Amino acid sequence: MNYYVLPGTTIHGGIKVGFQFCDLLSQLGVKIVVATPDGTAPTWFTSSVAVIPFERVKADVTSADTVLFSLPQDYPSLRELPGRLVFHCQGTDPLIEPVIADPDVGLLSCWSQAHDFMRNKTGRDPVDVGISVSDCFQYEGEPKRDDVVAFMPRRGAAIAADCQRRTPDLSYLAIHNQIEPDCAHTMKRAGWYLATSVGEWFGLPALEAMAAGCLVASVPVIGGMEYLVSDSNCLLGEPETLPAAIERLSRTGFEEERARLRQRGLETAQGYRRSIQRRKLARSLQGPLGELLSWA
Amino acid sequence: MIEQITIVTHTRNSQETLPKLLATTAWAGARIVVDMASTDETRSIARQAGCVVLDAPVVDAVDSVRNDYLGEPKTEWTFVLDSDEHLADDAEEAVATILRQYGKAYDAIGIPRYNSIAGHVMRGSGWYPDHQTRLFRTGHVRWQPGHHRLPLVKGGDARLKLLEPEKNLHIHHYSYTSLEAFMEKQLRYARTDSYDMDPAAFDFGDYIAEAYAEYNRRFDREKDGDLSAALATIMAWDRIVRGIIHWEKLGRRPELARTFSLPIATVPPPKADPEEAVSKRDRKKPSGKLRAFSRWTGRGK
Amino acid sequence: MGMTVVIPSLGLNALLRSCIHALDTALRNAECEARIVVVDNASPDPYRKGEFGEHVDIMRLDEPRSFSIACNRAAFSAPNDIVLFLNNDVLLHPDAITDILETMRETGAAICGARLVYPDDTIQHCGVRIGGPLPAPYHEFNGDPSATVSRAVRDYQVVTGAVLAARFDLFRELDGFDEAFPFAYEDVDFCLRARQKGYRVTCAQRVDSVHFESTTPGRFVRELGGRVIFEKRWIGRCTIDSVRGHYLD
Repeated sequence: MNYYVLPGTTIHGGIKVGFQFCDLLSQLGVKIVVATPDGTAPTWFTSSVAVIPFERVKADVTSADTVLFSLPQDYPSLRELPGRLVFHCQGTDPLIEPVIADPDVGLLSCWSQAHDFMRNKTGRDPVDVGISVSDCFQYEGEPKRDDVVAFMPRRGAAIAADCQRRTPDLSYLAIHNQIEPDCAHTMKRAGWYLATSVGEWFGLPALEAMAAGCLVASVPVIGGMEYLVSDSNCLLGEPETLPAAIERLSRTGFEEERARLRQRGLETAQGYRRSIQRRKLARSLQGPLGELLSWA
Repeated sequence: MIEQITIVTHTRNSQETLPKLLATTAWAGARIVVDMASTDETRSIARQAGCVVLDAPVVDAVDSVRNDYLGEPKTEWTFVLDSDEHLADDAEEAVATILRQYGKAYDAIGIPRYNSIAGHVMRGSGWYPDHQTRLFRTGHVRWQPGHHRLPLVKGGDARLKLLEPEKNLHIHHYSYTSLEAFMEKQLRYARTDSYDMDPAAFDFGDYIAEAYAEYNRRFDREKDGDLSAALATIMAWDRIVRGIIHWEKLGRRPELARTFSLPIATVPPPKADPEEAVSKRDRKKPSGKLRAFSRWTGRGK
Repeated sequence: MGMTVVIPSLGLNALLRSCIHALDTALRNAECEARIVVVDNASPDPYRKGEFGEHVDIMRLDEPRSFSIACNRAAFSAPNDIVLFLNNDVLLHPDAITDILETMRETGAAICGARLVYPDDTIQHCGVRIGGPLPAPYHEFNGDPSATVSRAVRDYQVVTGAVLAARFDLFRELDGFDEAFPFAYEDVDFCLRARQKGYRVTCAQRVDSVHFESTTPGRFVRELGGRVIFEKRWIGRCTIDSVRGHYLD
């Protein structure tokens, strides 16, 4: 049995990525459930994975099982359990270093920056399990407004405010504490998505926005640089310069440029379809990933 | 005369285009026409030009049978041309130079091709330079089954020389007189292509992804104007049509992924509520202006 | 591969006869060794031995019991590799059991449902989705013409108990259906508990069997009690696998 331990169910990208990873494994025949502190299940995105309380893991886990986790702070307590530990890396801040230093902990990576980081630190090759965009974000021809900018004010609200001041003809739509289908609904109708979270790890919302057909304007992120290509599929800029760049690109006469970035963003997002990640996992289950998981 | 080259051409009712090909390849040591049961003057045109004419069964995808005839040339080099292609009038000198320069170090030459579509020779949009691996040391190239798959060179790409497009030999390809003719041909290719019949390998999303990639690759307004947009759209839809044909061949059992829409078109904003429009513009200005506007629309006091 | 088929039934003798006739054909085509147990759930006119064929066992209950109790009693009395729960108002397609067994084999699923249509060829069931934000189970594609609904095999959290095949070792591990449920939602609860053990649930899709649905009198009123128990147990504790019910255009 495989248990994926998560610290909660609040709206946080790492929670969704963990669940969606479990969804794909379950579809591929792996016995896996998610454990949350009190057994509550998230309802802000769709998933078919079963949820149990962590107490049940402590009672039931055996040495034949595998325990997966993505929050490095969980490592000390999980280390005490029988069973194989596997770390599903979703960020490379210093907190992960004692985790990945443990040679008995299996390593999974979602994106290339984290993969390279762990490999360089440990000399071990993590298993690349990828990351993908929920199907609900795929653009289907919804009427899209060139003058509407979606953004998440959770981090970097000041940057968004600066953009708003510079571009009074654009309408800014905040996506805050929304369930995933509502978020997708908004993105598919917005012409732009503004990503303002400096130092974000992967920045999945920006990729979701690409899949939704948005022109993505983003500050630099860490892991997400594997898909954000400045002036090719998005507008990339430092917080100090991004607002001016958006103002320029939003002017009359730049329609074709905006269209080009949207199309190329959509093309980029096609490489992160759920079915692609499923195929990657199916192959990996025949090899290194299959060796880390429990088949009991 | 370049004795060490044999031209190989597959034909089927090609009387319109074959004469130009023959006129520009008379310098070749030998010419073989592989004919698929032509009912027009193709065979007699070929014989009159001194070609060896071989019979071939009629097939949809000529690439799938090319390999069967690549053993016919007895010369060191083979040059494959399609019946709707021809060379320039100085091809003899150009080919001789190419063999002199590259004949020892390489086994195959990728020749840039001019594609004329609907009366326009394409200069970008993925249609140019469109290198074709057609001139090769006999026995060193094999075609893959299906339509328009890249031929494989024995020894890999290291043995293939791609000619620089500038001031070099070209293949001239004038096959589509109109966009309608182009679409018709694409549909024929799509219907007669080979498809993987393993349902587990089918993913309609792959076709959608290819459609977007194809559109972005082919859209090049700077080089080919509006025609580029038209062709980009046709080629993108070609991928989608192939996906649906594939799906039907699999008994329509696998799921179709989400619908496809291309390109992303933005819509104009709805007519703003006048009060809202004014309040947005004049957010920090005295409210007197808002009241005046309200009097005009009859709203408010 | 041995199978026990459990059919809880109250009255409706003629319908039950047709149900078993179709079942016999499906079992024969699947080349499946099977025991058939009809639970006579307090029919006013008790079923007679041999009424549905000599090969059919009849377990008589004089007091009407819940679906859970009736099914558990029959299933545990005749353990086998697979237990198949079948409604008396379902006419199985001749290849339905073959389809179920093959789907279980191909997917490794421990629970498998069947694709069911109404007499007008619209979907009655091809898998159950849990809509949100409250966990609201519903039959996916219900009412859609079967010809328009994909036959790709999909993962579900739940399938209907009208036709539900389960590995018997799993059934035993979970102690069968929860007998706290008076009527309805015990199948949903069973599947969700199985999912909490990591087992896979799916639905066979190749062929359509006919389900007349809800011919047992007084059904809809009796579902309420089960609904209350289900919500109390599962609100906030199961994932939502469908956007239906969320705010959207």
